Amino acid sequence: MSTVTKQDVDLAAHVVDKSGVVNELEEALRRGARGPRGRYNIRTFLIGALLTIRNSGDAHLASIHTTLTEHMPVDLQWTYDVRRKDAQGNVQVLSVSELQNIQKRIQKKLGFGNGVDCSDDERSTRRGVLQNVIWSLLDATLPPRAARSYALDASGIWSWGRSSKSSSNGKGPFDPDAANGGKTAKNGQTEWFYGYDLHALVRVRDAGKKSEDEPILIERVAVTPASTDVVEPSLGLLKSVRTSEQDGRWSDDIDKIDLLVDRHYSYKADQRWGQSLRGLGVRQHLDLRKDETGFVDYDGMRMVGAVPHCPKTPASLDNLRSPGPAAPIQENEKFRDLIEKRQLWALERKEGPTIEGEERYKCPALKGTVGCPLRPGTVEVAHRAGLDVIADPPTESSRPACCTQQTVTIKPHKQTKHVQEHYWGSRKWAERYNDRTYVEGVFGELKNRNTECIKRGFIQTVGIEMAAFWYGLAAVSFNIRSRRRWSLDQLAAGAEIDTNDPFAKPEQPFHGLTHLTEEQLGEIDRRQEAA
Amino acid sequence: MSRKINAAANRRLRDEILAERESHQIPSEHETHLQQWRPKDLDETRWVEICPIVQKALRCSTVKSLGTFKKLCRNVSDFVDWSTDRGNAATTEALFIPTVIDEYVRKGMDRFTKGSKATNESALRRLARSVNPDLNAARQSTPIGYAPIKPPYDKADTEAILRIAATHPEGPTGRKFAACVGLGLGAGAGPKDLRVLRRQDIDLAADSPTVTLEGLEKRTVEIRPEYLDLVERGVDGLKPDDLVVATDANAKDVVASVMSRVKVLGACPELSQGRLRATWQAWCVDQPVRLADVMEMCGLRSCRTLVDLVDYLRAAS
Repeated sequence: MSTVTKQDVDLAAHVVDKSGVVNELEEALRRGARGPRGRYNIRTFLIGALLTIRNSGDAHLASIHTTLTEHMPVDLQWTYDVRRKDAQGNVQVLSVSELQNIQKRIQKKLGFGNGVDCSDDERSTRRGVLQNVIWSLLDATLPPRAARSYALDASGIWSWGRSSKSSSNGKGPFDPDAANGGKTAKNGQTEWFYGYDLHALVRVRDAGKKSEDEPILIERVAVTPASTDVVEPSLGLLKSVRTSEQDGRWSDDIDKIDLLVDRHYSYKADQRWGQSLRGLGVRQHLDLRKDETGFVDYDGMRMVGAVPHCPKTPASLDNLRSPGPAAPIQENEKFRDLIEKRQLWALERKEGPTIEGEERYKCPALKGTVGCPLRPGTVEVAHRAGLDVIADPPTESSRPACCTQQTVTIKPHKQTKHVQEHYWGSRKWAERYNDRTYVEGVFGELKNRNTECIKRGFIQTVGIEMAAFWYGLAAVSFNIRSRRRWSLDQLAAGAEIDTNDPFAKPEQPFHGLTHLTEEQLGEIDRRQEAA
Repeated sequence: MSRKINAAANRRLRDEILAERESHQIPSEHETHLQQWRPKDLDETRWVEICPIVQKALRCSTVKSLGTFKKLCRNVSDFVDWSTDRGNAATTEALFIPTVIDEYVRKGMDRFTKGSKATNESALRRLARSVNPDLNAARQSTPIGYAPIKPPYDKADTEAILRIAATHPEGPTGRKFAACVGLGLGAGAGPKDLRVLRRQDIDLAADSPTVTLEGLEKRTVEIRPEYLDLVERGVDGLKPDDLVVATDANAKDVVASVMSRVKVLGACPELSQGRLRATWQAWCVDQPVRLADVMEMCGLRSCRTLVDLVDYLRAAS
């Protein structure tokens, strides 16, 4: 447990105030359409939650209460409504039951899980309100950016609850919203769990930029029961950011957005995933599975990774498999060399892909990377430039269209789901794709016991609305911490940063704590009352 | 790292080649002879049939001498007559290709003497390369890509580099640069050789000091005596197992990083280990040594590099 300083509290308050979610939540938690607004100290609740997640690594109401009433300086308790005067003029301190009331109210008014008795429309509205609250808080932590690259992934988190009412496994109450799912354990094996998937869209640097150019921050999060298909929630995150009108977000003047995803996403059918991404102007960068690295015939051409190759591509360049990230450098270099050698035999994309996935390609001899007797002049060029030459081009009867036409149209096919900007496995592709690791890093930090520590027990309550709310707040806490650390690093490195930015305010010296006697506390209370 | 291919430059080169082919014309006296040319041993009807093909093919000729062109006219007429008579399509694209010429050489040149047979075959194949450059060029080449050799340094550049190496401030860069230059000019060590070279691979105690290089093909090469001083300076203070130039066995761009740190005052030729090696190879080519031995010493599997090197030497002289 670290000390809560004035800077910490001010920063949390800045995020909460800038997001404007206090009014939104107050409106949503009203007792009825005609009734008065309840006295819910939502601002203090949210500030306390953000401070507690950062400092205690949990989101228990008792911990939030302790943070607000014991770890926060007394004068700040007055500023942030933890201590206040009641109607009789007595000093009142925020109670745990006040915090419990807010959480109960959120569960009652915004619950959208299986156990909630309401219509599907109402369920959808409630989910939207909670999502908006979290996304607005995240927005308040994000600086404007000109970059356009994101990494997307999902990570499993154990529920606090049990998988069935009768189950004797585990502790806690029955969680009707969570589900069984598989997650990658530390040893790389699949581990089964009962809980939720946290989907995160993380900002990463653009190709060719330095990693210190901008902080690694979470742009959007969503929570679904484990094993839920990733397509719908992921597209929801992308659409929300695409349609955002705020500065520094995607807008129509940014034509293409780069999205880095793992093999789980490249497995999805193109009609559901790839076409939707292209419709949104999103350009995905993905990896191939081990059984997808071999040539497949497409009208006489050799297709791999959705890229057609010359019919005479040497068989030695078929089925090139990545040695994996843990392989020695020499093996990786050898693989990249072979891939780039094969790339010389690949047709050149001239148009597309359209939203449906249609593309036009041009022969590699016309591209200028191999010599072919069927393309006048290219063999002589190959001799002079030291390129490979096709000694036995396809005979007239077996020539595919790519050998006779200037360009050839590739209609959508099974591999269209693998269409991406860079040639799979090439150095350019690797440079781009390797940044996907940042989203893994974010999950690692979110689950680290020294930071947000979101694992089983982070919240001791059940229901998807609680998971969405508290994991979302953990993401906000991550952003505050990450942006602040980046800003201070930039300041230390002598970069020009707006020092009015609350995230970039230099750390004030902290001189320790003192034990307050009853009289001293009374004195501070009287001084604050007078103020 | 694989070699960079400049596809755009290749496309421009292709455009130039095609434009050159398009604009090709034979000299006017050749054209006049071609218009008047009638083979004596062919009847008029047969000549009318094959005349357009013969003329089209001969207009692609690059022969300069009229006498040679006249012989070529006879040769080509005979070839076209013979091969169309055996059912081949009557087009230049179908006739002037290696398989048809091969067949003609095997079966259709019986009446020639051995010497004129070889001369006529050679002339026919040369013409075929002009008529159907792509189909014939593919046959002519081995379908293996290769990295073109860099030009060797001339005498002035070599002396400048030796001066820089000899006067370089002491320290790791000076020592490594001396090793690069000494082994490059003295034993033809390339960047790949130097990447894995250890002190124990260099034997300076023998009567004829040698170095065993294994970055390319493994070979032991005698170090040229005039560069021994530099090599000795380059390995000064190293233990047997120490790498001579690299900092660790997995390091990349080992030589380039040394070259980039070399302290140079004033003008200096481009520092390239490939060119140092090419300079040594050029020296090798000039020695009275068997070609097979030169290739072995250079760590080469084909003599293509040496052929390219001869072009540079010819241009320099």
